[in-house]
Amino acid sequence: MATTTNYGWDTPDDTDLVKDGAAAIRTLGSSIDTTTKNLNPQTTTGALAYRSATANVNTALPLGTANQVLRVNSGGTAPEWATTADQTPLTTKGDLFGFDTADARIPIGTNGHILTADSTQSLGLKWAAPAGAGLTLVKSQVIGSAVSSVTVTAAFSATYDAYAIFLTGGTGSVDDENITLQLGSTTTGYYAAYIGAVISTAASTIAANNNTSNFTRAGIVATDGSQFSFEIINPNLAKRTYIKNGTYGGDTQVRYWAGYVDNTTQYTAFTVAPASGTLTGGTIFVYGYALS
Amino acid sequence: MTINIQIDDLIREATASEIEAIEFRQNEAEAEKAEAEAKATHKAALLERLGITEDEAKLLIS
Repeated sequence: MATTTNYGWDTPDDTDLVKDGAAAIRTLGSSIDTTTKNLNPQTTTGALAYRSATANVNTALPLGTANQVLRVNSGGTAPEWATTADQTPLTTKGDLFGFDTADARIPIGTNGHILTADSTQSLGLKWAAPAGAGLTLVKSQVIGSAVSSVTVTAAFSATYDAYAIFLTGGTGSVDDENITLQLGSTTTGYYAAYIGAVISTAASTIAANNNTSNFTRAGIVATDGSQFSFEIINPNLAKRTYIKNGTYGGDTQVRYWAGYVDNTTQYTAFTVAPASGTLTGGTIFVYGYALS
Repeated sequence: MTINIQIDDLIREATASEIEAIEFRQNEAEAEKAEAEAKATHKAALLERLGITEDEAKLLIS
């Protein structure tokens, strides 16, 4: 009897009798049915089929569960659905991918914290507050337009004993006018010495505050750039407040200065003001020197 | 003319006492300038009478 090439199904020979045709068709149909079923053994939604050890006979692999992946079984003989151990552990916004003996999530830390290596942690890392920097920006104050004075409050506190203060980027309505500095509401007892030089002649210039109502030369107003720069010590301690490393320069001269306020007032604020004219724009930066 | 002062981010018109303080500051600055100018004039006159330059005077007293 003749057979088909691939599956060996029985087909009638050319010499078979027509009267046997019905039986031959039935035999062929039965073979096709059996083979088709062997190749498509799945009976449930999502099931897959893979070849068994027997040719033309597949094995059904039912659909796995959520998040499982298809992999080869441990014997290396067949596919299987499995929950893999190396799935991402991340679940939450800001999670980082960590590892101990297995993958693990490192939850996001507190705002402002930084990631720090720490071998005592199970994952070797932790979020922690940054170590105290040497110099910390306490406050920045943007100067408005055409103001005659700027008071900066909450500039000094018990957190720091020494501060650096700058004015950058500002302009003014007049050229080469002094900017005065007043601490809190104190209007007496300012002592300072100013030593400088005239740029064009190198001639020395000196000036002093001997119990004045403010520091009279804390900075310079200029139409092309107002500025001041100084360090202030003890403003919030019940001790004399000292100023050192003050510098200022206009178009004509540059000066260095230092001084003190003769009282033990604990200040939190200061006011800068041009001796005449106004300030416009720029930013006053107050930095605190860390105590440890 | 309006005089504005700034306290932190708040900019407002200066009060009478604040304007007084500003004027006091300006007067002090002007007086200081006048004093400095008078000193400079006096020094120049003295050097003129002595017939020497500032550098020569510094050399003499050094």
